[in-house]
Amino acid sequence: MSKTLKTIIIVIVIALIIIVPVTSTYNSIATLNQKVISSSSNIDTQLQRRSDLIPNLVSTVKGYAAQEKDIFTDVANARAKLSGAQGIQEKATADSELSQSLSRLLVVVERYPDLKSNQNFRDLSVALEGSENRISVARQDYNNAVNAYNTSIVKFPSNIVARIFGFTSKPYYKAAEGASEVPKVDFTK
Amino acid sequence: MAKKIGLMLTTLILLIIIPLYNIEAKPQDLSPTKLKYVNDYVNIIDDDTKNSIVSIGNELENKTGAQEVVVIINSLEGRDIESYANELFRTWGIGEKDKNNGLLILISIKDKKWRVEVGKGLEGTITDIYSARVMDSEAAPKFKQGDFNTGIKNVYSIFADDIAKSYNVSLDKNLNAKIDRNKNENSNDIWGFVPFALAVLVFIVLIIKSFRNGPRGGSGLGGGGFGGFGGFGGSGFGNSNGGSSGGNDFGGFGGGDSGGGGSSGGW
Repeated sequence: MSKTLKTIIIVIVIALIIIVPVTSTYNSIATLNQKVISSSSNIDTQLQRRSDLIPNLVSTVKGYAAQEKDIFTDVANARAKLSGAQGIQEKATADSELSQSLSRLLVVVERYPDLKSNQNFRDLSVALEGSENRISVARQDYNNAVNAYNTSIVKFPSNIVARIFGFTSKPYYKAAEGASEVPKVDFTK
Repeated sequence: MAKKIGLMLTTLILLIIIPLYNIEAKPQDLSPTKLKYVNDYVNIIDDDTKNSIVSIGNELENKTGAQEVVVIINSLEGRDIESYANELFRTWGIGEKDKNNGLLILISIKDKKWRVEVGKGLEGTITDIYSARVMDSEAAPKFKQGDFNTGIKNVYSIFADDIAKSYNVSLDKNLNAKIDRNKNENSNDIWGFVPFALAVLVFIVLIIKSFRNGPRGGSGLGGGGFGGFGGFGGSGFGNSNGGSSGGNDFGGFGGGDSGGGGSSGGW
């Protein structure tokens, strides 16, 4: 075997030893990264779904409780803020503000028995609950995806690959304190 | 010498196993019963109701692939029913994997709460509003009177018809499914444990034997002993991955997912 052939083989073997694990590590980080992106867009879908429900809900409540102007303005402002929010953290904050103003709206509803027994309002509040629940599932899935991704890019040896290809850690979707409570009207009373 | 080591190993293995069987009731610890479509952990509904649910559920799955499942628990133990239902749905994997056509009716007796959790693939058929209306009108009034049989049977049948309709089929609802009454339906946990216990026993015996036989028996320890453990993953706690769980007469679940659709309420 000539010397050059030997050298070539050695170089190839070393290259393979480096390239194969780097490729597989890169691919697994990229997969986790994609998961984060898709779960983040799922949050957006669910936030939009709830946003779309709000005008209907507000106009139904207005029919019975037109004098509660402050709360309607609150909800409208929070909704507008959420639609303008950029980035996960800003969205999480705006989302929790909207949830809070919606819970205040539903507290107001407790004072209007006629409204509470209105079928349209009942339906809308079921839809709102369903929406809030989907948001909370999407939020949890997103955070799990971020957790898996963030862990993979700090663990040795994948952290080296992550640094080479510029993968950086991603923020969690953190709602403000007390905002995780899903607003609910108690129809059993 | 061999006895001592055998005893030590048995103690060690028991110390590892026992904690597994002592944890609090969490959704992921509930394993599906043999009846698959109806899982009554409280023993509140009668055999006739179970019979009709199983036959409707089985017909629905054979014709559409969709899986509709009732789970009745005693208490949520302080958890909210929404997250409990979602976790249970995902752990069992109700519905087919890519179609996500599962539906779970969860009822917690002590909390007086119900939830209908709808897989993503059925959200268009069973909307949140619709599921709440059905439960409020057909189930809640019956539950209030303590008549869980009628309430559960009615809503199960209604949802099954709706799902069948969305697949353009209709259900005959012949009550022809046979339930073997000799089977203890909650026995999954115990029977799942048997192969594992046997494997452990074989393992211990082999270890003791190998010590008695001296160094020549050493190879028997590795081969035979670990071979016995193969039975563990298969039948013991087989429902953690992909949602399929063996051990019932109607096949396992399909690994379906839910994004939190559906509705909940009380009575």
